[in-house]
Amino acid sequence: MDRISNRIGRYFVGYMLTISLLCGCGMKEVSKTIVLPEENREEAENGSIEIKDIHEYTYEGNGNELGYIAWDQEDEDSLWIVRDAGADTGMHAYYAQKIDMDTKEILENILLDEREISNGQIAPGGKYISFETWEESMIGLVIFKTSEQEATVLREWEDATEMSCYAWSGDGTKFFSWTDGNYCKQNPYQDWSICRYDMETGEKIEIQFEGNEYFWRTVVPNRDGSKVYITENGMEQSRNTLDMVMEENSAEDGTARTVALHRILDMNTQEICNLGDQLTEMAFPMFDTEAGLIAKDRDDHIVLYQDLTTSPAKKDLLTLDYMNAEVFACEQGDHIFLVEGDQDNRYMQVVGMQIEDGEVTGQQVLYKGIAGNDATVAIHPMDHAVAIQSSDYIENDRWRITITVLEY
Amino acid sequence: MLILGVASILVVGYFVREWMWRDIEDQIRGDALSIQSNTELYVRQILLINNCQINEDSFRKCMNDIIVQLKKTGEYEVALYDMDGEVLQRSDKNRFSGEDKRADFQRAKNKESAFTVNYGREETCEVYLTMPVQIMNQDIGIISYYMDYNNVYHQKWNSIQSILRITVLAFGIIFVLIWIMISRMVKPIRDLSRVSSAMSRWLKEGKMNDGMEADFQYCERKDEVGELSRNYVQMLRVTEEQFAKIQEDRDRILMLWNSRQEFYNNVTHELKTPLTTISGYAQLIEENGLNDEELFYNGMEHILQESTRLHRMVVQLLEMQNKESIAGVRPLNVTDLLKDVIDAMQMKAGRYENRLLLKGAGTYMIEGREDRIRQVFINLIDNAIKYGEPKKDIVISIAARARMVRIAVINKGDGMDEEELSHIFEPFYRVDKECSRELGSSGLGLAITKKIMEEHGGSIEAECSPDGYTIFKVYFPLMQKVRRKE
Repeated sequence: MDRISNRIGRYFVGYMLTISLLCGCGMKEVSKTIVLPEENREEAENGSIEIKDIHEYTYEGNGNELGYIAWDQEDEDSLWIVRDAGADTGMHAYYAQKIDMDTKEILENILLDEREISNGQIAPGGKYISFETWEESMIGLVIFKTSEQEATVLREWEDATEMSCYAWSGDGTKFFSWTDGNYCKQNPYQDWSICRYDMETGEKIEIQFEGNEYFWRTVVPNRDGSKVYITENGMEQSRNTLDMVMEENSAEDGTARTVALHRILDMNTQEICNLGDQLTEMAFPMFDTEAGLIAKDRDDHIVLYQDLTTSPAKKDLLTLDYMNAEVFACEQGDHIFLVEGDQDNRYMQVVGMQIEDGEVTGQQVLYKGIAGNDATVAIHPMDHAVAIQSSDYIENDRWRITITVLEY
Repeated sequence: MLILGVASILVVGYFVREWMWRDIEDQIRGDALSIQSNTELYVRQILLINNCQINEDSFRKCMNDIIVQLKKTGEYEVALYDMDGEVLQRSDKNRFSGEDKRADFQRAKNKESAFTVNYGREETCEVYLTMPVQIMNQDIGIISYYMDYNNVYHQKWNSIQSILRITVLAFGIIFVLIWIMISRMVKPIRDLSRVSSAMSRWLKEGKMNDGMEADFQYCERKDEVGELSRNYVQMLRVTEEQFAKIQEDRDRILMLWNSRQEFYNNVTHELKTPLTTISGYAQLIEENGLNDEELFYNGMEHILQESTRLHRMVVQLLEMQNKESIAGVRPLNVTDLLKDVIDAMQMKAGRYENRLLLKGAGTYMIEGREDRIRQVFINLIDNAIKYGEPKKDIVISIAARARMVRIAVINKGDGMDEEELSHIFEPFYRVDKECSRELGSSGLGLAITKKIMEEHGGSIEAECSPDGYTIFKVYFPLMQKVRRKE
């Protein structure tokens, strides 16, 4: 009977010796060569947007540089930007510059304001620049006309908690402002209004709305500013205590159950068209294009709504893979550009898609930049180029700002 | 088995290493595909930004920008080559040398993208990715990347080694546990084997170790091994008992053999002695005959005496060997029988000036043969007369003891010691041979008495008191009173 135990003991010792021997052995050198498939290249070449040319304009600035950019309506190859030239002196001196992207020449360099400005936009076409500025306790909403180099104060107020949202019409002639309860430091349930300022005629139209629980508001003007798409989001009314508890709990992790009211407001007639249940999935509208209203739904799908007021039709265009992807669409609605971080999330990349009859026919990465992924985009009104302004940190609060124009 | 174990370990190690390599290669492949698409995009961007045509000259012209851009994107070392494989620019000359010997470079010259993985001895992993740059269906150059995957490889190898160590440890623990389990299981079997072997030796020598069961450590498990252990202990116990019984039987056989031999010797001696006397006197008479009348009558007397004694001895011997069943058994009043015998023996007792005194009253009924029981009483009283002191009373008492009736014959005499008392019921045993022979004793009386008592389910005892009284006690079972069924 000793043989059984001894046998097992011998096996165990042999096993341990073998393990020790093998563990002590080093690996030999091995080389392997693996060929990559060709499909990757073939798929890339199937994209329908072809970049014909790329222009880059680079300058250095500080952290106060503003990402305002717009195409000039007269010079096709020119871009308007806003720069802060006074950062080195510790002061502010904002200049509106018009850059020829072909020659990289600064065609115009206009002093905008020497106060700190924020919440600004360059109107499409570059004719106007809107911004907020403040001096002492007064906050002012300013419209700067680049051709006249004149600034007009549209409104002034003292309450710093009062914040507004702004948008330009597609033709760059009408300026809209409204309050969004999401940003309003005051009572979000108070009455609110949409104001339209006609830069050409000087007309101001203000339309009042009653405050309600739907205080997260998105306003998208159409091309000529005659209409605006309004989406108001809010929490669904609780039916009972349990629902309240459930909603409160879900609200803590940011997954509040929201509903939305969608309407189209005719600024001229002040008629409101309430859009029906077909749009309940829509989170907010994004762009009014000739092809229809491009919007984002609650599942982060980019969709195209057509014939909203008559027989609404919805088409799914794409799903955003990256939470921080920004979407831009041309006026015609046949090109969509996504600006997002690449798969390693280290650099910015521009993905272009062509839309035909509500279907994405081609998608490809058009550009990869070495800069970060916080970019401002301006699509040329003629839909043959897209400008991307991005920044890359150098050191000591010095940034490299790059404006890249992709011609397609 | 050992070879099998070693071979299995080698096979497992091989597959583990292959799996790890494949895993890394899959990761590298994914990275390579991404780098490939990004490379062409970046190169194209650079060419467009620099207002260059898509051709080899532009590639050569913008090689510095390309190197800088590509290095920034992935922190790789980059080398640019023309379509003939001639080097244009390298970010690190040490990394890129002897490209022609690399298979990936040869593939790229054949317009195929490939990567080569070098697994080094010291857990190093270096990758060369080489691809032809094709933009708008134009091959404008070759780009080669050097990528360091040492950290990734090292992490994976460490993970594998950790898993292997844990596996080895687990197997080691399992081995030890199995060894312990087997040892525990084998130990009782080992004890069984040892005890079996010892028992074989003992039995071969004709002995049995009484302490063997105690030596065997009892296994209290409830499984088959425990059951085997319990059965073995039982077997040991039975074996010891049987062995003891066999030894006892052997001893008895030896004793009986010795007794037989002694009996034979005694018989022959007792027969020879009177025959010798008879023969001697007969010869004398024949020789001297009628001439010596005194001798004639003296001799005849001795011849008659010895022949009578011889005859009596033969009768007693026959009686002893009589295996006739106790036929003729009937209820007897043992008190009356005893009185009758006492009356008959008073005359003989009187010759020695002894008196026979009966003590005890009561009627005691036993079952037996009257003649045999009478003989018992006669033998006992006769012995008391022959070997007792003259002029002394011989007391015969009768009394009931439990379910037996006891008859005791008490006489004063020389007495006997313990040694003599232990042999007096043996055939032909005499305390004083010469004296009892002279008294005409054959030495069989008490043996016959004991036999008769055993036939009747009784017993006989003898004892001597320190003051010289010899007491013989016989016990008869009292007859059970049976109720008549009415």
